[in-house]
Amino acid sequence: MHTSNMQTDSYMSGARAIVRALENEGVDVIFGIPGGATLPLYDELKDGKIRHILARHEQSASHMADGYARASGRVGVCSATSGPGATNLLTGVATAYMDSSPIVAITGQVAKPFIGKDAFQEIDTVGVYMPVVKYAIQPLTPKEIPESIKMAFFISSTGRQGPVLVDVPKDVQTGSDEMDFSSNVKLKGYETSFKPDPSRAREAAKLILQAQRPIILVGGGAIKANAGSMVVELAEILMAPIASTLMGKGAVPETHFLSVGPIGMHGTYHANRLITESDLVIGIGARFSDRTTMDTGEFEREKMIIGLDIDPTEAKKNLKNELAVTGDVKESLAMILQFVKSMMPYSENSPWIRRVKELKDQFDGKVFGEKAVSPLIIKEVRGQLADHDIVTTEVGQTQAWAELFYKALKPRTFITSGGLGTMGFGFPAAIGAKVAKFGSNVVDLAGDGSFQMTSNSLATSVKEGIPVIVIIFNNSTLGMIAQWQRMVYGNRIVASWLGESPDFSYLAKAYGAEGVKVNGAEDFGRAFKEALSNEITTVIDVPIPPEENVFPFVPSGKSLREMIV
Amino acid sequence: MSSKRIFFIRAADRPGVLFRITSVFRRRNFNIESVTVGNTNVPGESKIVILIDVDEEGADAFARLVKRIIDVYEVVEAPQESCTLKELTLIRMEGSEAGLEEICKKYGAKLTVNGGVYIEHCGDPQNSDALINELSKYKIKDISRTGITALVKENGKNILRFGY
Repeated sequence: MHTSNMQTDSYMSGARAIVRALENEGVDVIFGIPGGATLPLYDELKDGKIRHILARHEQSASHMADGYARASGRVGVCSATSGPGATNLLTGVATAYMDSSPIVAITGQVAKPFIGKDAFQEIDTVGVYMPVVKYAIQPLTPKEIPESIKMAFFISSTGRQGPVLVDVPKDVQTGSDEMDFSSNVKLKGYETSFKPDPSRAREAAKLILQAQRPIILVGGGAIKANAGSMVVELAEILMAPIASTLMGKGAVPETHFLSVGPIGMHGTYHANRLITESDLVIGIGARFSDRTTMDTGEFEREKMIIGLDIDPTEAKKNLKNELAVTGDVKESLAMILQFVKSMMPYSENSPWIRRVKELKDQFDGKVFGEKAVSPLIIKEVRGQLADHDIVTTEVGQTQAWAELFYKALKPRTFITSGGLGTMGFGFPAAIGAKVAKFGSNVVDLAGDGSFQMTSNSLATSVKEGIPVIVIIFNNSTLGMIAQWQRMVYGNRIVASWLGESPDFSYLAKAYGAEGVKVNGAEDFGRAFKEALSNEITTVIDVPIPPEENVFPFVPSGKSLREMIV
Repeated sequence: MSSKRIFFIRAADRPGVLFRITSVFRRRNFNIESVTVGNTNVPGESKIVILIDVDEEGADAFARLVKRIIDVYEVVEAPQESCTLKELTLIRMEGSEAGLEEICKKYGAKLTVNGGVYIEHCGDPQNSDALINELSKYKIKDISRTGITALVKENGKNILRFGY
């Protein structure tokens, strides 16, 4: 008897193999929009176990997957069709790339015979994505699919995490073959875990013990490595202040007595001062970006830098006086701690810790600028939320206010687009985060400008039953642009006035969400409390004076010592 | 200080790898003077040799971005003087071979007459330039150059290895 025509369990279409492979990876949700080139895939989703959450624009879909990844630590999955679907999805993928967030983007592609023929909805997706993904894969036969998906998840989630693209031509989805899901991914030259060099760790420990004024700087890598408690241990032994980057917020509780908040363009006054006065910066999973260090020459003047990072290509990238310890941040930290512990701990009453306390007492929570309403709102939000609740932010003034005044207490509870600075990120990211952490409240701190970029996600939030709260800090302007125009461009206001339109409470209601307009901080407190008690997506429109400026502010090209307050 | 540097990149022999590497040049606005790609004795692996005029900081940035590409196994950077360089030049001449033999002899080039007049030169790229310059007195019909390929010298100095 011939068996060649017998269909075994492992004989299936490429589309089914995608779904099977995703299920094997433990995927429970995909954020996306179907299109012509992904119809075979979507047809298979009908019978699968994976929940599909329908976005209204592909950019929102990729931000949702990113928010899911950042809140949970698991790989987020998004999907779009070829051509415009793929280009729309790109912004969210680039956002994930800049913040090393693990997502897998699955795009449909026109069938192979049409590739390169300028076919309907054809673009060279792999070519377009290359600079903004950790890796891009285009399986050319159905048989390659199981390994492609496995490889995508492996690369995305290991080492320095990042987005991976899988671009699947339509005929590769429809074609069938025997599938093997058992193969193990092996990639030559790709190392996922670098053992830190003990001699480097010892050198770092020596620098730490020689330092008179050490300061710790935690970045997003400390959150990914789950290194928070070790950072606190090191800080308490050294009695060193803990500053953070924007991405590092929440790595250690910002209410810890040694925490001084973020440094950088919109860092806290005391953190920027302390890092300037320090003689050693211990960077933990921080990449010393331009927004964090500002002028690098001034940043590292008269001090040494230690940089713990998982990515060897970050070593000494931006700073000259850096001693780089490459490897898993937690392992590096453990080694350094071991060396440091064997020596004398710092005195609890050193001049340095007295200086830290002095500055912190004076400036912690201080609002520069008399009329600022935004800080009051953010403090109210913090006051009403539980430790594990999550905030996301949009980009611009609201992000800077949140950076300054929202005290993140747990890792993965402060989600923001730090590297790419993508307006429109916060709302869809909040939806993704809510899907990952349904038991937590998720709040998007939004500006009216940013919110309008992805407000289409209201439909997703309502229809899919994913209630989040959007607080619109509504100053009717592109606030940060207006601030720069006022302060750096001689008060010449150009194209930053948005006007008092739309009425966001009506907009919310039009989508079936709740919409509230409040007057001032007190009124806001009541509205927010009510929103938290309702299981419904709520948009709270808070009027903010358009002339409100965020301080402290370090203009580009200046050093951290040149803060404007 | 800006100077000619040569990068030797060992990478997977896979589509898209060269594209990703050259994208790094475009991103930093580096001008590639020459790039050659070929297989090595290791199956599945290719070696890319890139000549570029770049300062130290630019070279460092380039090496980092290239090493970050997952299909890249190793990046080695060497100053030009630490390498042996070779380039292949093929030239088709118009008219007869009269007078060409002597020039070819001088440069160690091979002259072939086979339905047309062909000159083949393999050697130091500067010699290729000089050869072409002398041949310009005659009529050059077509010319193709491979770009340089190179090897690090046994006793080469200032070799940087971004291998990890």
